[in-house]
Amino acid sequence: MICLGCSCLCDDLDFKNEDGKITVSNACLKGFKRIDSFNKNRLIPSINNEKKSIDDVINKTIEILNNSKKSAIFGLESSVIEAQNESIKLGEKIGSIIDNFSSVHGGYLIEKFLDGSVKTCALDDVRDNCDLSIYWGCDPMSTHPRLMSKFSYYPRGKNRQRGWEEDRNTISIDARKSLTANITKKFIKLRPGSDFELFEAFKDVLSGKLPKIGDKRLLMDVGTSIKKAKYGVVFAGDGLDYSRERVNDFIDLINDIGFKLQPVMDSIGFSKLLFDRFGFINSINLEDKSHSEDNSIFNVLKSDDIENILIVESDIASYLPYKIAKRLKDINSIYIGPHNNLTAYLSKITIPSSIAGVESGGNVCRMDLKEEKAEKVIDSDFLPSYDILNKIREGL
Amino acid sequence: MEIYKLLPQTNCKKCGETCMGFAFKLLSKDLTLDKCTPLFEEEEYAEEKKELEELLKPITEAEMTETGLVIHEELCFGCGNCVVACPVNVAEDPTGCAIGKGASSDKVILKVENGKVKAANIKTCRRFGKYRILCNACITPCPTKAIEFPGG
Ligand code: SF4
Ligand code: SF4
Ligand code: SF4
Ligand code: SF4
Repeated sequence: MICLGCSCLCDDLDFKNEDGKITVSNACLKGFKRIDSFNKNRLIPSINNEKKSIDDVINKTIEILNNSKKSAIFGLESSVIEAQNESIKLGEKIGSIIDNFSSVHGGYLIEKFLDGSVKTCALDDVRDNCDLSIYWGCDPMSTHPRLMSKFSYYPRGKNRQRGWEEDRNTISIDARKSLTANITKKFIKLRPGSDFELFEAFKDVLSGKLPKIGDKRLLMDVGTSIKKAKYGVVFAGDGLDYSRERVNDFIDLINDIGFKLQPVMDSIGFSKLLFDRFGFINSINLEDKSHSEDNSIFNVLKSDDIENILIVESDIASYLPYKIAKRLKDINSIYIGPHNNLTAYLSKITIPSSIAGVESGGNVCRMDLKEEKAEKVIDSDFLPSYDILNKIREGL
Repeated sequence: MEIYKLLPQTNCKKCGETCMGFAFKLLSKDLTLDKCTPLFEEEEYAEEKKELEELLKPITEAEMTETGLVIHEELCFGCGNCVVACPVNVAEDPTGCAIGKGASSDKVILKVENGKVKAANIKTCRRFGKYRILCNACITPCPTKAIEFPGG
């Protein structure tokens, strides 16, 4: 069984179901909880907090979309590709905006990852070859718990047979001592937003000069490791958000040291799909296929002219300032997803869907763009989100 | 050692052991603290008794195996670092744990189930038996210090 708990898409899960009591081997706690959530906190179909039938809520959504001039579709970053495709079709039919989580965090990195600015790698090659992994502004132990045990640090790889103690070096660069920093061999602490100073310091060190800032010994040491590395990978996360203006310097640094980039983020798959189709990863107006910052969820909710928003399997409200998120209450907001969450709570219409990879199958995209096929392991009456999106489109 | 220091150290053998022997059996959970009756009966040990109870708390509460391996379930989040790093797991499961996957052999010591690590086959642990060594391969990679050998 494949786990859709994060973009590691671990494919080695063992699932047993004995009279509703499930046992899952090999998934981390995050993955297990997602699977185990099939009978917890489920969303019910509702309009203005009043319970309705699934047909009622779908019909109401159709009615709203039919009568609105400006709509937006958001989310789908953790959905199956079938649902992502359906959402594009629906968006094209109604000429809506389409946006996803990458406009909130990390999009500037994902763009570079997709547009060929920097070398990338397959996670299986990382396992077989990587001898130095740097975790910059990311904490995979919290967000992608098995990344380091499956790929980047602990496993034996074809060309890394002696194990993590001898064969692999790891460095964490972050504003705080994260769980990841607890286990990497070195840790460089930096002030949020001061990544740029560190880029400069590394440049100095690598050209044989003394760094101007920070712990000089540590930086020289890390510089030596970087020079010695045969297969280096920089895993990067949204800790770099504060330095997003300097993303080009970051990419230059990675290229200069001959490393590969892997963003540790979940919205890479959908971003890629949009990028291949439209040349942009988010904030796209499907009416004229144009891109603008004004189309990001943040700006859409701030603007006055948006009439409705359809959010699919993404608890975006938890990530936005409450003042902005609260706007969902004023407009026709529709939430499609398996569970109750803040976004569902703020939305006018809620449409429950099945848990992808548990109650329904589909294709999914790993963070390194490898595609996997998820299967259904539990029977349920919930419709998959792609079926719901399809019904809405057909009903228009 | 810490446990031993807090015992009465009179070797009165009321527990059926010497104080040192008793300390080890406490760690391995073969005996419980109340078997050392002097500790409970004599005023002068009251403080030591309290400290011992504190010290042994993690052992009595967490799952404790024969090698002294303690798993603090509440701290474990199933990342599998220990599963992949344990040399016995690597040797017993070359196509599973060794290459980063979940356990695919019954002979492994550590494996993750329902999001938490579980221990089995503990007799094959390198800290066990005649040729035991001080292996730390499952402790060092744990980001939350969920695995511990309180005996040292
Ligand atoms: S690391 Fe991610 S994909 Fe793997 S088991 Fe955990 S949640 Fe699931
Ligand atoms: S009963 Fe207590 S004091 Fe007596 S030998 Fe055992 S541990 Fe030592
Ligand atoms: S002490 Fe060593 S052999 Fe024993 S479980 Fe831990 S890693 Fe495995
Ligand atoms: S390394 Fe720690 S948190 Fe990870 S599975 Fe092992 S005990 Fe649990």
